Amino acid sequence: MSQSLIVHSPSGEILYQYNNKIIPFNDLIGSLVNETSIQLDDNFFTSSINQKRFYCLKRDDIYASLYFDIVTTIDNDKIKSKLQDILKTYIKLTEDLEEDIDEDIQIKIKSLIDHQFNQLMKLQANDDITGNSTPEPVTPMKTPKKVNEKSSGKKAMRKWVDGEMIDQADGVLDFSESKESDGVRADSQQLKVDNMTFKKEKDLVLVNELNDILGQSDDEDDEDETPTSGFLSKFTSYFGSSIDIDEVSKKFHEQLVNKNIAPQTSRQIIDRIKTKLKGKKITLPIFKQTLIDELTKILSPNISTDLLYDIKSKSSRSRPYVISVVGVNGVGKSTNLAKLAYWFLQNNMNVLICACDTFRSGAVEQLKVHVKNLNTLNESNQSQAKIDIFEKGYGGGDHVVATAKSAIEFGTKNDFDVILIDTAGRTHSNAKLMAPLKKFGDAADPDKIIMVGEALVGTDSVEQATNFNSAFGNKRNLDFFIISKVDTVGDLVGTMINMVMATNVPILFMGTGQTYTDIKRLNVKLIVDMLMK
Amino acid sequence: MDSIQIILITLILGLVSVVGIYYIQNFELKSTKKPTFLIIGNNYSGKTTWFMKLQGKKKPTISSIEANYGEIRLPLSQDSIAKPFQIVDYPGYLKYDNLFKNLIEDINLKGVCFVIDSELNNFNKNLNLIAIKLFKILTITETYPNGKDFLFMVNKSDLFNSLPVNKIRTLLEAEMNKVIESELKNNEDELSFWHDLLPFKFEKLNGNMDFKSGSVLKGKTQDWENWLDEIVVNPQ
Ligand SMILES: Nc1nc2c(ncn2[C@@H]2O[C@H](COP(=O)(O)OP(=O)(O)OP(=O)(O)O)[C@@H](O)[C@H]2O)c(=O)[nH]1
Ligand SMILES: [Mg+2]
Repeated sequence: MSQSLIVHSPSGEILYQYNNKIIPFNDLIGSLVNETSIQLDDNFFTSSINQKRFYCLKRDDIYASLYFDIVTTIDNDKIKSKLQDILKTYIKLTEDLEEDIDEDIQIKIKSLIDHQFNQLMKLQANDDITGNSTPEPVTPMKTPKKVNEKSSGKKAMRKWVDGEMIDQADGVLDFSESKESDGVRADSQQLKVDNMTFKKEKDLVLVNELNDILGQSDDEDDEDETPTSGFLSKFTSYFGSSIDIDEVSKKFHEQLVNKNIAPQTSRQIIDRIKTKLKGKKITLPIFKQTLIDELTKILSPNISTDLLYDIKSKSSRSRPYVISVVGVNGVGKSTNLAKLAYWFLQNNMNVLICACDTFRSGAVEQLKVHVKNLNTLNESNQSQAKIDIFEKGYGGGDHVVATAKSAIEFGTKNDFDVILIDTAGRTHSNAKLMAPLKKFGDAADPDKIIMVGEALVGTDSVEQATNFNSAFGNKRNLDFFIISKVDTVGDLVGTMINMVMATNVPILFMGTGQTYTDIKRLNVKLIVDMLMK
Repeated sequence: MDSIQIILITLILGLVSVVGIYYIQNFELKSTKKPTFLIIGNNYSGKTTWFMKLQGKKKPTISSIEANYGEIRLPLSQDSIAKPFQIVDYPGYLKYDNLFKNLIEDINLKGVCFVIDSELNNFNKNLNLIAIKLFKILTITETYPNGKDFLFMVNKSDLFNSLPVNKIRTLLEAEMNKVIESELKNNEDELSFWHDLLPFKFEKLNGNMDFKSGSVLKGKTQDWENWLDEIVVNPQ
């Protein structure tokens, strides 16, 4: 079993650590940055990665983060309040200090926070003991031999304190080891002995001190700013002085909504800005720049979107690279699929288009027309690459899966690099139509699943993206969006934000017109400029 | 002085102070005028460790959520003539890469420390992402008259499976070639200058590109410190 706790700054400096097991926290930070963590409460996040459950609480500019290796049974509120106490302890002990924190304070911080973390761990271990407000009996996580001797004693209350003492000695030992990475054994032994004598007298003092700190009133509660109102604030806001944050929030919220961002999405964005700026002096330019940065971050992919590169790097496999395209009816799935096909042809790749919309009459014929056109274009370009269509007519039930499988087989035998699978358009809110997607995904096992979404949609795009993203089961998500018909909405490009925010799936291309070359890579800056105009 | 003049002067004074306050408030953290060295690179390469080392700190780190702004005096080797420089440690996340442009336009950029984790497995795994990051930042810096100078800090040379600096340079050059070719397919105007740089060689760039190996953790940083001093003492 493994667990760890750190207190750290947003810049990556570790201010306190429980033990040396800090590398897994990088995963947590990744999930915070990429917004894939779940926000449980204000500034309180959780995420599960690699069999570990992380929790993270932020206050002022300091984070306390912890993880458990196992599925924890402690409820979120207990974890939150413990993390709050821990941050409070750290902040109280360091608030009046300059840059350098001296050794004594370090040790004090270490033992006080270790103590609190151990308490939390005990909740985990003694989960069945409930409704008991007296201190729990000793079951330290790492049981040094001495604890066992002592726990056979009679002094029930003292026993608890003693148990803590041993635990803390253990913690302090960890600290000395982590500080001197080359950890000389003899050194740490000596330290341990020193600490044991040191603790005898100090331990009760520390526990009392902790109660003192946690009993103190908290600045955090009375943090509410009183904005200067009236004429002066209006006047000075032109020159960048403080502004009424609610007023400005409202103004930008309206602007975002006017750009077709769903109201709930816009509120989420504005809330993030408010949280970021909390406690800082806010001016109009600062607010605006923070918003620009936030929108930029939202639209920026957290993985490489270089599809050609990915295809090339997988070209040594026997199977062609399989991409399936999904979406609601009428959004331009087949058209954009054809555009993708042309792009691959231009990049000298052999493309097989597979007609898996075996449902809507005319769908197969429509693809045939595209392939014919593309063939003509391709010949006039004197390209070496080939394009073909694979179809097995219409049919329900397992016909789709069967078609996809034989297409992949055919593509493998006939030296195709990429297979593009068209699927039937379906209404995202109709569970009966969405269910077959999972089966299809499992069978065809596409390298990439791309959803085509329409720039025109507006608020409904949130739900469309969410439902398609979860249609492939909990092990598989969408990989990319193609946003179609971007040329028809002017600068009302909010749908992009809606879909990306709802799913964390990046946008690969925008469809910008009727010809095969009207497909453009997402230009984040351009879109953000449009939204802010 | 008549009353109109007094009102005017008061207004002007007021304006000046308000604008002054605005600048002070806005740029507490990042200074726009101070000459700056930017520390960038992929996650886990050792940027924050280096940033702290430059400021005489040695602490364990985890991945950074936000940029770090700090100040050091350069040249390091000659304190008597040293002047303050800003250093910025920019987190490695792909999600932040589109914010480079704002940042670079905001500062007076003297040079870029591009930190690379030379550990074999990490390097191979990240090679494409390293090249993409480098491509993005060069696309910005190469538009300046003489480009900007880069120091490729081939870090973690203390590890037994660390790749040698020449190997890293060659592999990165080849990877850049691939990335450039693939990026040029997007037909974006601001990328067109890359056509002239194919086949890609680091020497073709306007800025100077230096590759030096070392280890922040083991204090093998002399070459990197010399590079900083060199730029400060002998600006182009
Ligand atoms: N072996 C070895 N490890 C190093 C060296 N320099 C840094 N590290 C370790 O590499 C890890 C990552 O270092 P950081 O400085 O936090 O990485 P970063 O580049 O700031 O990463 P992000 O903030 O995520 O972008 C830490 O565990 C460092 O201790 C070195 O020279 N040798
Ligand atoms: Mg860092």
